[in-house]
Amino acid sequence: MKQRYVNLICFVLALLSGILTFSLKYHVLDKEKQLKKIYSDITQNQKEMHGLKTDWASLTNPEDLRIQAKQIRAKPIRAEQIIHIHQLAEKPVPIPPKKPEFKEDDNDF
Amino acid sequence: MIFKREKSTFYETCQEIPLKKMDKWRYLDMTTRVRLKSAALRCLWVGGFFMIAYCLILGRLFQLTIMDYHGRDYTRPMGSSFSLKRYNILDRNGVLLASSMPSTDLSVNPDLVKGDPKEIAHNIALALNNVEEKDVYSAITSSAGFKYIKRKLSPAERNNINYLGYPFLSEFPGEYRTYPHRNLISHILGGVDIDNIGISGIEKAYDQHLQDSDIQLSLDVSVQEMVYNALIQGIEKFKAQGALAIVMDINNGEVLASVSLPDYNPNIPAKKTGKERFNQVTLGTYEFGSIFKLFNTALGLESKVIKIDDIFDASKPLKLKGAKAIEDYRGKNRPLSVTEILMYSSNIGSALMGLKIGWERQKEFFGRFGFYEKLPIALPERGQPQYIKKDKWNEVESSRLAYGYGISVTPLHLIAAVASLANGGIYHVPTFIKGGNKDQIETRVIDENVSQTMRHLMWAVVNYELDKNSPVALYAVGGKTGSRQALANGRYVEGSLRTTFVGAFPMNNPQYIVLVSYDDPKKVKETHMFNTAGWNAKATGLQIIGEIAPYLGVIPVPEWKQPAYITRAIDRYNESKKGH
Repeated sequence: MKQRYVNLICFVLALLSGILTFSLKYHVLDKEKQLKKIYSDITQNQKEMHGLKTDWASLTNPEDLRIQAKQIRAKPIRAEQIIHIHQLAEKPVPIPPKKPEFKEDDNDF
Repeated sequence: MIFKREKSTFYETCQEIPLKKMDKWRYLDMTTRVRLKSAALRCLWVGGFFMIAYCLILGRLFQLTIMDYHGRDYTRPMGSSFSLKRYNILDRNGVLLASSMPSTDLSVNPDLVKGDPKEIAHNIALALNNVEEKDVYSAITSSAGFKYIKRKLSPAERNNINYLGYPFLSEFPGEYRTYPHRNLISHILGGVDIDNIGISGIEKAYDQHLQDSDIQLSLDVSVQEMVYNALIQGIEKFKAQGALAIVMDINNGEVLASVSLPDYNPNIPAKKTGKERFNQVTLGTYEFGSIFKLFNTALGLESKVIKIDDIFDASKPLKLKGAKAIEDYRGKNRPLSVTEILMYSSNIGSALMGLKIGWERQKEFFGRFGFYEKLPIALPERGQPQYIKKDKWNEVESSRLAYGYGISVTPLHLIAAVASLANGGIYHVPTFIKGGNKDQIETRVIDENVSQTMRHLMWAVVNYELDKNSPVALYAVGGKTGSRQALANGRYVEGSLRTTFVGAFPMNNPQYIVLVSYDDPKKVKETHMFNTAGWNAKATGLQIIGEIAPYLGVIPVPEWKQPAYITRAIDRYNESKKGH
């Protein structure tokens, strides 16, 4: 009787593992299909990004930016605008506190 | 028969006595027992085999998933990622300068063509832009098994061809090179042929490298544009035939900008002419005239033949045996100090210095700057300097060489040499690659103290008549101008000049050096009908410095301390000015 149970368990296990392997295989195939799609999307995105980078380089051509800067009246940096860090004041100059303004209501109490 | 174990059991007559398994075995005949034994053995072998196989699989699984995993990717490769046959060229900040774009090439297999070739050729030519019907006809009637009809098809052209549906036409994935900055860096980038093989510039120099990875140049596209823009303005203003400019990092030889005009659009290579294709910066060799007075002075001080306070008599033209008299352009007609010789660019003074120094020293000194050989740069366009044959070098020639006559070098030779005079005496071979000189062994060409003196002298040359309130004055620019009759077909052209300015900044701690040169600038109203370098090349050079210095983060020099010999020379100039 004991052996029959063992055989039965083995058979059930074999069957289960068969079903599991079968379903796993199809699951993996499905995942591979998804992966393939992702890879192809990545390639397509890389291709588009490459094209966009070239477009960006073309659109941000300094020659064109100079023309656009003129339109928004941007001015180039002047020499006087640049100083060495040592030329800066050591501590920020404190802003003097504002004198409290006299209010008529203050005398009410 | 009663067995021992069943002795105690009572059985009735004819009652079946149950036999246990072992008992059954005992009553089997010998043959059956042997057969069963061998069957059991076979089962054991098969079972054992499967057991070992399972153990192996389990072991391998354990090894792959637990022991050896370490984040490895065991997935099957799923198609290749996007890659092109030729990689990008980038500027020093990573801005794209040249790139490849995927395209489609159209070809035909003439053996498979069926139908009237004239009609087919007509239809195909209609479907494509800029393709002649006769070219298509000759392709489809060719005896070759394969012929390209057009490369780099546009999407619209592809649609048209697919619509025709000719089975003998094939489309191949190809790629084409594109230069987003058009003319801006044309000469340095160079170009590729129809098969994407580099034929000039960086494209040729790094052809193999570009098939494996990107390349980053030392150029800065913004600096390049500022220089380009200033030169375009200058050409228009001074009505010059052409112009060139270079900006170089004085401390490592990396070129930040290199412009040569006229130029061309590398996206339309077929349209360029010979003059446009010519890179004046690396290939053109020119006599730079008075700029060579810097080398003459540096050599005099380096060899200790000349002292900074020496005076040379430039009051009258210098006559040497068997040579034309040497004269000064707008000369001072008085004895001049070494500082004044450079400030007023005196040919007589320089020639006298040259004679004192001696031609042997001069010959050796020029060699230190590589003035006799092509520059060891990667670009294929490299000019061979021209100079007097070394065996003909004598006093007369030496006196001419002292002020830059009789030797032609490329602008790149010149800027690298002047850079070494100002940067503390170290010569760097110019490079167009970012970090290209990292492993270079430093070559000292002059003493550090001589370089310090040269910096002061160069500062005096630029600043003695410069408006102190001009923004460029804050950058303590030091340099030298040079004007020399332009050569055409091996002869000097009367009235036609090549004017050059080379200037480094800030002179208290030089960081960058700029060279500007015009080909045949005209005498125009704005320059009071003068066309020498001080009126055009220097003006453009200072304009460029004023624009690029804030961009490059160069901090203005609030106070400039000059040595006594400079103060004396400037005071003398101011006095003479008052006298007028």
